[in-house]
Amino acid sequence: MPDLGRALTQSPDAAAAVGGPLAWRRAWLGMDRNPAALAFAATPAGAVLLHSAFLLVLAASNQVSAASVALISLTLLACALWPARRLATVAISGIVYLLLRPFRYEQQRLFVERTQDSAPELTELAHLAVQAPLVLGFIAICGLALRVHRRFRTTFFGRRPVVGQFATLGVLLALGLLLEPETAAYALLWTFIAIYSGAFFFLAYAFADQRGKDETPTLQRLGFLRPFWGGPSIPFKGLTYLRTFEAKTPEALAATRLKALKLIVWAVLLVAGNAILSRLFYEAADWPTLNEALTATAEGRPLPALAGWGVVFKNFVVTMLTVGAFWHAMVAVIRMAGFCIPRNMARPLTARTLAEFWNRYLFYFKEVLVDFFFFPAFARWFKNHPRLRIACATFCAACVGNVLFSLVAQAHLLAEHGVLGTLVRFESYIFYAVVLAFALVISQLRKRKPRPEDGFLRYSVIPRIGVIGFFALMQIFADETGHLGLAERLDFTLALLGL
Amino acid sequence: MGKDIRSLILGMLAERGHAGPVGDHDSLFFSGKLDSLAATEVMMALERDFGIDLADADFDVTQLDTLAQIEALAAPRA
Repeated sequence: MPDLGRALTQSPDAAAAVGGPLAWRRAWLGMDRNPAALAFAATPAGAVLLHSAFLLVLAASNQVSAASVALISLTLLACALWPARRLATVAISGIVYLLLRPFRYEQQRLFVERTQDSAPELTELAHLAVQAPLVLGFIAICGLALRVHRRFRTTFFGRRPVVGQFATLGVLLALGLLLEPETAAYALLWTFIAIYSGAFFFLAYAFADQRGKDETPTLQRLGFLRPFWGGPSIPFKGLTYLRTFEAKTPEALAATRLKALKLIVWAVLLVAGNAILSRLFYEAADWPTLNEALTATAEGRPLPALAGWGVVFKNFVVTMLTVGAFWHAMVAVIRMAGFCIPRNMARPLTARTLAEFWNRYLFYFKEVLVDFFFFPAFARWFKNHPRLRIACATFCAACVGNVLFSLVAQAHLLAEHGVLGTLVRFESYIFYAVVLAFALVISQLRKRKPRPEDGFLRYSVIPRIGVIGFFALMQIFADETGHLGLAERLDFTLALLGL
Repeated sequence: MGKDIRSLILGMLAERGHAGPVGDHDSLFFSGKLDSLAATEVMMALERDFGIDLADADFDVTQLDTLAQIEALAAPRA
């Protein structure tokens, strides 16, 4: 990138910029505040160069599929050509994305295709031919629900739309469980449920935005049921939130795009770090994965305690790198489109309390839980008992909301395993959510927080080790795959502790 | 009273290491400057000092993101 490089070196830091890798790093990190770089990024040549570099690095990051890179490229191109119509562009792209990729998870798509293939009336039809009308029907129903909600704000549904959403999902799931498998009705209903569950919390944010008297046209809202940047079923909050961060001037847009480039490069560095560490752990050192270590313990071949701890911390590091790279890529795409939203993960290892880590680790997931579980409970229950009020609301978010979120996102499991089978599959995750909730309650209510005057060790070192240790151990239980149960995971943990 | 809620928020920002100036329209919670625990403190202050009912159908938590919005919410009751 010679032009951007020249722009960087034309800055007040130019002298420093030729002073070595550290100075280059400083110039790179500061480029979204560097007048020369900003001026260049705002030119047509700068925009072309930035977009080209961004898309190349995004493709190299391996965080999204080639088809997604293509859709992202077209959307970013349209956003760059018609910045005044950015929201409309993103909305149209969102509808296209929902039509092409109606399901959030590969397992969900495979499940839906199996149900279609086993229904004699549908086997002759292409999967897309069955799914596309259902997606359009889903979008139409959501549009109708949003219009009704806007009109009847003071009714129960108007005040509690998410309760309405859960009730609707409950009815659909009950119907799905009652229907005869291997029929067209069964296949169509479960396809619809999978589409609905993938967009569940995106729709919840659309309702929440309307409650805030945001008068965005319903048609535009429908383009944000599954925005074009993809990712799992965690929304980056709603349209109102996105608008807050929209670049309003060419200078702001240039800075936002430079931030996007910085973030996607950081994502690639995390991917590279992950690849190197994984090779070191799995190939050079021949360490087992956490699941392999769990299986070995369950089969009566436990690892020595020290090796077990090594596997747990290795798993924590690899998880942090994987999660960080993926979410940075998502945020970078949104920034490149012109919305300078905060990162999803921001220096989680600097957290000194469990609540702070939770806030820094997956900011937008925490926001979903806070917006739809914490605040409603906080607004209504135990108003005269502040500490109990916070404890109850935290439990509703970190435990109840957390488990419900995972169940909704994988609602198709009910068809495959039944109600009891699904709950058994989630037993370890439920345990994780309960422990996490209690730990967060204690963390929030603890009056004594670490302070600088406590000294370096007690302020900077011990609290961080405690937080990292807690979340590293919790990873043993944060499992939604059903690989081994709670008993086996507890056995492994007890073996680690020498018990 | 408006000054009290402002002082509370500026105090919370300072506690979390944001010592610089904060504009009336700068995002506080959406931007991550303040976390959800800080939001609960603000909401409890609004309830306690300004008689605002958080369970009210018209209460919208997304309208609590800036100093200007919070003071506007508190103003009619101050």
